[in-house]
Amino acid sequence: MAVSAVAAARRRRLPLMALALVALFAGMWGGLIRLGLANPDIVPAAGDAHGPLMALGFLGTLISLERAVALGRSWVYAAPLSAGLGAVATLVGAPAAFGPALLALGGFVLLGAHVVLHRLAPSLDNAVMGAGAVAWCAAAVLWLTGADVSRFAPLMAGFLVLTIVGERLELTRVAGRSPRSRRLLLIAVTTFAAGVAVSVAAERTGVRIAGIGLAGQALWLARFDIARRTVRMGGVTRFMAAALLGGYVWLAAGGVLWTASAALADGPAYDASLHAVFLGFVMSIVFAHAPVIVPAVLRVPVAFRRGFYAHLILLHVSLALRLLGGDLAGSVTLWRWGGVGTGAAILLFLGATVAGVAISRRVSRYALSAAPS
Amino acid sequence: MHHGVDSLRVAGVASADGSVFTVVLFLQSNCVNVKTVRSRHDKLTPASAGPGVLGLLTEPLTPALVRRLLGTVIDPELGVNIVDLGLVYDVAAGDDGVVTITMTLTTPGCPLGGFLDDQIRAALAPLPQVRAVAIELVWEPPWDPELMSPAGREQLGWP
Repeated sequence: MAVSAVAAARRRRLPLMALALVALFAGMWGGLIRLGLANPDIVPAAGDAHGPLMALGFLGTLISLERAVALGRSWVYAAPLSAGLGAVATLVGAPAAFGPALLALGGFVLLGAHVVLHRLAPSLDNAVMGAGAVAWCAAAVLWLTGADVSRFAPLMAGFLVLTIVGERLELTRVAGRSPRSRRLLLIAVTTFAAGVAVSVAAERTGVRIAGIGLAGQALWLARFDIARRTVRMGGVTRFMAAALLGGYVWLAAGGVLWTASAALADGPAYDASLHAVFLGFVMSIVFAHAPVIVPAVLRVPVAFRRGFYAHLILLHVSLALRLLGGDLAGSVTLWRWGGVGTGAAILLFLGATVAGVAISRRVSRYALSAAPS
Repeated sequence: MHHGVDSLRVAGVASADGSVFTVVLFLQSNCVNVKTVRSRHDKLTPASAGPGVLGLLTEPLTPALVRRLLGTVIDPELGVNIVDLGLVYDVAAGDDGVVTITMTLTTPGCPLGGFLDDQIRAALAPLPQVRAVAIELVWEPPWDPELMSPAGREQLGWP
């Protein structure tokens, strides 16, 4: 791609990335409201919509932007645009149906992208990711019809888990895994997807089944994923693997919690069930892939620094504090500290990524000025 | 263009251990000069960077030479270079300085195309012999694990 084309791509994608960040900050503010640490009168919608803002507003925008970049077709960019605007509409208190409708539209466009990908090269991993997009659509439609967030939280987890596991499934080919071992993973994926689907009609039963699938996927990934191998390499490769493996531990914890408690209403079990999956697993995988995805989407290099481990460790330690000290032992103080800690980890992550971009740029500028004149 | 310098090439190089350094090559009165700008964690120098940067500059431009440089472009998640992964289908290069690379990705849903595009251009940038680089992404034939080199498979722990 010529320089001007790269710049044009960046100009087109940067506003969409910014929309994702607006959704992220709003979702984080909502998290503070739910922890009882922020004034609920400032952006009141953020507290109620915390889950959809994070899962569909932030991650939906990010994931569909990634897919639009991969597919390289203009219409797919309607997905991140619609999802991002849906998050903003939710925030500014647009008529109630507005935000959910835009978020749903984003999901359907992403689903369309997976249909096109299927026609280009049919594959199982793309089908699994497509099932994730279906879960996004179903979650947003349920929200549109006025359902409680707890009702469609398993669907939002379905969107993210199926998207991520679909990508890992694709990498099993690179890792030389046997068809038999791939079949094992598929059994776990199918169990999870079936449980999520059942949860729409029979909530508790569905969540329990999905939990078994979550644990199965976690066990498979912890044993067979390529991260087991690449964690022995160095630099950014090792960092990515470490973040993935940490995420698998939380995915297993989430599976146990979903199956054991099947909690569907506010309370410690519900808090732990959702955050093990959304923060422990999903956010850790976001941290893992950022050093690659940011350069791929924005076409700017990110220099990897060992300091990246700081936000990764903070995420896992503070989440453990929240779940063990807060949800399990019942300490409100530890629950809040844990919650604030994961928020701080996300801010640190954003700061480290921006610093990584700045370092790359400084190095190349210095190189130019070091040339003789 | 800087006064007295016939040509200037700048390459940012990320090594497998994550360090980033920059190699500046400039031609002055037909002499090749190399300057390395290191970042704090840099552990490599042009001499240890691989096949020897200075030697590369004097070789005629051939597909084999391009492939050697493509061997420094690493998929960050896998820690394996794109040649050993079997992603590079064809390389055309000749005396006119035009390099055409035909490559694929493991799946069309993979967003790394642009990332690798940038990395490939950075890897080829130090060669004064290269005038233009064209990278064509194709999906036929689809990538298959059989395309990986024995070295690549070993790195990823194939049974």
